[in-house]
Amino acid sequence: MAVSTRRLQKELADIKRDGTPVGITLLSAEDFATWYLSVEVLGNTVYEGEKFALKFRFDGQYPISAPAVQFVVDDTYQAPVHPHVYSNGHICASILGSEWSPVLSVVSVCVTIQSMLASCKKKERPPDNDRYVSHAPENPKKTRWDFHDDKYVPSSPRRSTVSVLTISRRSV
Amino acid sequence: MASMLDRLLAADISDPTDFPDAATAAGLRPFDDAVRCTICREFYDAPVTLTCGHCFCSACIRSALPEQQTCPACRKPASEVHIRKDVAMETAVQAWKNARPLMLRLACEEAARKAQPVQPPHARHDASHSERSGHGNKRRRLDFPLTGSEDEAVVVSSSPAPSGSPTSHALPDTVLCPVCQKQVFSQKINGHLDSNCKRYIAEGSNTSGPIAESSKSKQKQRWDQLFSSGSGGSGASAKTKDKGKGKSRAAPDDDEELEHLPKVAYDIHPHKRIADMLTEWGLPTHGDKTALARRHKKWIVLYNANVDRAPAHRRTLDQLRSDLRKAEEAEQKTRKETVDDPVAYQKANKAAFAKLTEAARPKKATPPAQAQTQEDGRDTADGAKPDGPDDQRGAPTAEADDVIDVDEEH
Repeated sequence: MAVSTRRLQKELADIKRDGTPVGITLLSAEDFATWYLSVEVLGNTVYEGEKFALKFRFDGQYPISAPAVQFVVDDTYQAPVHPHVYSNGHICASILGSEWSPVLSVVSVCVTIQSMLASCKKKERPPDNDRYVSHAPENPKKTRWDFHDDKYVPSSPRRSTVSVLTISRRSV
Repeated sequence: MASMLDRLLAADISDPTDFPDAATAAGLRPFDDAVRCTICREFYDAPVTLTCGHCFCSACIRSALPEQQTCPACRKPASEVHIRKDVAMETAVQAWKNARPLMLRLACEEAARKAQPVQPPHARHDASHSERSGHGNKRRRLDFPLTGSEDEAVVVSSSPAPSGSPTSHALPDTVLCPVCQKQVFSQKINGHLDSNCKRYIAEGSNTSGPIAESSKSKQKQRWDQLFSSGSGGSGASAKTKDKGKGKSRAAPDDDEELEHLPKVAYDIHPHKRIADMLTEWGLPTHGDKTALARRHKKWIVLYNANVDRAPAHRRTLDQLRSDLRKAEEAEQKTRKETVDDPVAYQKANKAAFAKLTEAARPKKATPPAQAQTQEDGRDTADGAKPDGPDDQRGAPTAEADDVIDVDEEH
C-alpha cells in the first residue's frame, strides 16, 4: 500500500474517531485522491455566517509533497472574498507551496485557512484577480506563487501575487 | 468506492485513538502518539534525529529533505549529514510494539468496566483485598484492574486465546508470578517481584493445584516477551553475524560499519550509467531514464534507512529489493491517474474523448449547463478555451492534469 494511502487512512480514522476542530467538517472522502471539507469562521469576523468548502487533491507523494488545495466554487459554495483567495478558489498561502511540511495534515491545513480568514479585516479580492483567473491552470499546484517575503522579483508579471503565511507545526 | 474505503479502514491501521481517552487510561494515547513518526504516523522505523532534536523515520526524513532542507517540525535548517540514529527510541518502539496488544486489551477492559455499574461479586473481592494488603489508601487503585467475573480474569492473566481457561480456578484478580509461580495480586506484581517473591502472595493460591502446565508456560512466555523486548539482548548479536554474511557488499565482519550510500546527480549521467548503477545492486533496469533515476533514488533512501536500523532489525538486500518493488507497485497504483505523455494518452483514448466531446457540445451552447457537463466538456476539449466566468474550470492547458479529471469522473 502506498505511503500516501496509509497516511490518509490514519488521518481519516482520526477524523472519524476524534472529530474535527470546531467549524471544520468532513464533507466527503470517497477515496484517497480527493477530499472535501467545509470551513466556517466562528465568532465576530467579516465572514460571519458564511460557509466555505475546501477541495483537497492528493498525489502518491503525499505527505512529502503538498496536497492541491482550493476553495470549491459551484452552485452551493463560493470562494471567500479575501486578499489571498482568487475568485476561482485558488489560495495563495505559502504552506500550500514552498512552505509545505510533511508533518502538516488535512485538518491542520483547514485550521490554518480558517485562521487566515478569521484574521481578515477587509473583504477584497487580490489586486490581480482577473488577470490570474483568466490564465490560471486548473490545478493550483501548477501555479508558481511568488510570496511577499520572496526576495526575488516576480519572474513574470502575471504571477505576481500575495501572501505571507506560515505556520510552524501541525496542530495536534 | 465507499465500500472499498470502508474495507481499507477496517484493515489494520493502529492509531493512538485505539486507546480510551485520558479519563480512563491516562497517558496511553499520548504515549502511543509519542513513538510515532509525525510524517508517516506509523511507529518509528529506524528512528533518526536532526540537530534540532526532532525525530523521524529514517526513510521519511530522507525522502522529505531533498524537497526542503529544513526540519519538517520546526523548520530549522537541516540536511542529510545531520541525521543521527536514535537507538534509544528504536528500543522503546520495539518494546512498546510488543506490549501494546496487552495494554490495549487492559485499557479497553477498563473502559468497559467503567461503563458498567459495579457488580456485587466485585465488591466482595475489593473488601477481601483491602483487608489483606493493609494499604487503606490504595483501595481505589486496587480495584482498578479487578474484573467482575472470573472469566474476565482469565483475559488478564493468560494468552489471547485461552482454550479451556485453566486459570479460571485462580483468584480472579491475581496473576501467576513468572518467577515463583505463585498467585499474586495483579496490581502488586511489581512489588512482589521487587521483594524477591516474598510479599503480596494471594492467600489460597495453590501452586501445585489446578493450574495447568500449559497456561504456566504461556504466561511465562508472555512475561519473557515483555521483559526481553526491552534489551536487544544477546540473541541480537548472534543474528548480526548471520546477516553480515548474507550481504554481498556489506563490510564482511561488522554490520556496524555499513556505510550510507552517497546521493547521485542523475542529470549528469547518461541512461546507461544509471542502468549500471542499478545492475550493481541487482535491481531491474526497465523504464526510461526518469524511471531509473527514481528507482535508484528510492533504493538509496531504503538502503540508507536500513543502515540506520539496529543491526538486529536490519533487512537483507533481498528484502530491501522486494520493499522497493512493492513501493514502486503501490506508487504505480496511485499514479494510475496521472499521465506522463499527454499526446499518447490522447491517442489511446481518442474514442472516449470523442464521445465526451459529443456529449458536451449541445449543452455547451446553452449557458445554464451543469457543472458536470462543463467539466467533461473542458477535459475533452483539452486546450480549447472555455467560455463563461466559472473558475472551477480555470483555463485549460494541454497538461496532464486536465486529463486526470476524466479519470476521476469515472
